Amino acid sequence: MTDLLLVAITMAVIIYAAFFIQQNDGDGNARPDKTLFAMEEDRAAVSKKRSRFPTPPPPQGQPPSPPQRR
Amino acid sequence: MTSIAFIAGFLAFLIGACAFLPVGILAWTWLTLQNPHQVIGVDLPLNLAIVIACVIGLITNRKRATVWADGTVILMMLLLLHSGLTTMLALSPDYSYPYFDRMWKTMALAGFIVLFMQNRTRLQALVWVIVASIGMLALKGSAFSILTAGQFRVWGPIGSQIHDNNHFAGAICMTIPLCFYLVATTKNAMVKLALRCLGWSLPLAALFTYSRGGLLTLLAVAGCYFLQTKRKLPMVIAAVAVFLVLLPMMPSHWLDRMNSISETIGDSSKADESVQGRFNAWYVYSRVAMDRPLIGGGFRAPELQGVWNTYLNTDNAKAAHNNIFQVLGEHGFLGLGLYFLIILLAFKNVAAIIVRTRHIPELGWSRSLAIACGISLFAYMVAGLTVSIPYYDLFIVLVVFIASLRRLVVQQISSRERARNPADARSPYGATPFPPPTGHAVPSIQRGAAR
Repeated sequence: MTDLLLVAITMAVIIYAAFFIQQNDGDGNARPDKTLFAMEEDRAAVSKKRSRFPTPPPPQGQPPSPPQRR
Repeated sequence: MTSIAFIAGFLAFLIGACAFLPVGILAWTWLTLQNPHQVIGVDLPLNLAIVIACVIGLITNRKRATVWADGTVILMMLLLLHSGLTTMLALSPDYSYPYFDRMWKTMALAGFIVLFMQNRTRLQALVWVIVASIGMLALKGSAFSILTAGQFRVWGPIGSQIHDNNHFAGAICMTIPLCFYLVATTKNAMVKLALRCLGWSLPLAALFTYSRGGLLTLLAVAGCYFLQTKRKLPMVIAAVAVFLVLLPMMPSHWLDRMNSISETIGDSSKADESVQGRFNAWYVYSRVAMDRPLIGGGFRAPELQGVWNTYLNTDNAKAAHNNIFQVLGEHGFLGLGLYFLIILLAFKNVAAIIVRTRHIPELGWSRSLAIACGISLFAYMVAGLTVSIPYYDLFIVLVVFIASLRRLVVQQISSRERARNPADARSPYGATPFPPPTGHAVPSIQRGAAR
C-alpha cells in the first residue's frame, strides 16, 4: 500500500506537470518568465491588479507611444 | 487491487500521451527512472506501451519538432552506434545484447527530450518528474530507516538499474541538487515545505544505503554547495551540528563500514574483500581493453567467469565498480574517448550557461538550473568512481537536458538582443557583434525608451 501511495504521488506530480505544460505552452511556445507553481500566483495577481486598477486611456492630442518591446 | 489501481492510472497516461506528446515523455521518464512497475510488482511491458503511445503522440502532434543537435547529442549518437558495433563483435554477444537493448531505449527517450522538451515550461516539468521519481523512492527509504533506527540497508527497486545500494545512493545524490533547485524556484509555501522535507530525506536515505561510495558522493555534493554558497559560516555550523547529532545515533555496523574507508586509504593491505575485488576488476577490464583497444569486450563481457579467468585466476568475477574502467573494458579506448567527451561537453554547456546568464536577471532561473545540473553531474562522476553506472538513465537524461537548456538560453539571449536593437532583428543575419559603420544612422529604440 505504501508503494502504491508513493507511486500515486509521483503520478500526481506528472499529471500536474502535464496540465502545466498544456495550459502554458500547448503550442510549444512557453511564456519565458514563468515557473511551475509560481505561475498560478502570478496569474491571480495580474487579474487582481487589472480589476482594481484599470489601464487609463491614452491622453488626447498626443502621438501614440512606441510599441512595448521586451 | 494495488496492481489494478496502478494499471488504471497508467492507462490514463497512455491516452494522455497519444493526445499530447509531452505527457508521454514525462511518463516515459518516470517509468525509466522510478521503475514503478517493479515497485508495485506489475510484470507487463509498460515501457513498450508508453513508447507506442509516444509514437502515436508524435503522429498526432500539431507542432512539428525542430530537429537540432549539439556536440553532446552527436557524441551520444556516436556512442550508441559504437556500442552497437561492440555488441555485435562482443566476446559474448548474447550476454551483452540486453544491456545494449536497454541503452538504446534510454537514448530514444533522450532523443524525444531533445526534440520536444525545448522550452522553459517543459524543462521545468521534466525536473519535477525526475525529482519526484527518485525522491519518492528515497522518501520511502528514509522513512524505513527512521522506523528501523537505521539497522537495515536501503535498496532501490528490485530489477531496476538502481537496485544495488551503491547505485541507489549515487542516484539519490544526483537528485539532491535538482530538488533544492525546485525549493529555490517554488513560490507556493506548502509545496516549498514539502520539497524541503523531500530534500532533507534524500541525504538520509543515501546514508542508510550503507554505501561508502554514497557517503563520499554526499560529501562531494556538500562540498559543491559549500563552494557555491555565499553563507559559508552558517553552512559550516549547520554541518557540524548535524554531524554531532547524527553520529551518536548511527548504528555501530554503519560506523564500522564507513571506518573501513579510512583504513583502506591508510593501509592498502587492510582492504576488505569488496575493495580488493574492485582492484582485481579494474585490472581485468583494462587488460581486456589492451587486447581489444577499439571495440573492447562488449557490454559486461569482462565479468563473465570465462573471460575473467583469461586474465586473472580467481573465481569472483564482477563488474568494474568504476565507470571509467567499465567503459574501457566494454567499448575500448574509442568508447572511453566518446564517453569522456560527452561529460566534458556537458560541463562545458553548464559553464557556458552560467557565464552567459551572469548579468541577465531574467535568466537567473537557467543559471540556478545549470548550477544544479552541474552539481548533479559532478555527483554522478564521484559516484562513478566506485560503482558501474556509466549508462545510467538519469545521466543520459541530464546530458541532453543540459544541452536543451543551453539551446534555450542562447535563443532567449539572442531574442533579447534583437528586442534591444530592432535593426538587427530586420537583418537576415540576426544580431551582429560588429557596430554599424560610422556615418550610417541606424534607427533603434533605446532600452529605456522602449520600456
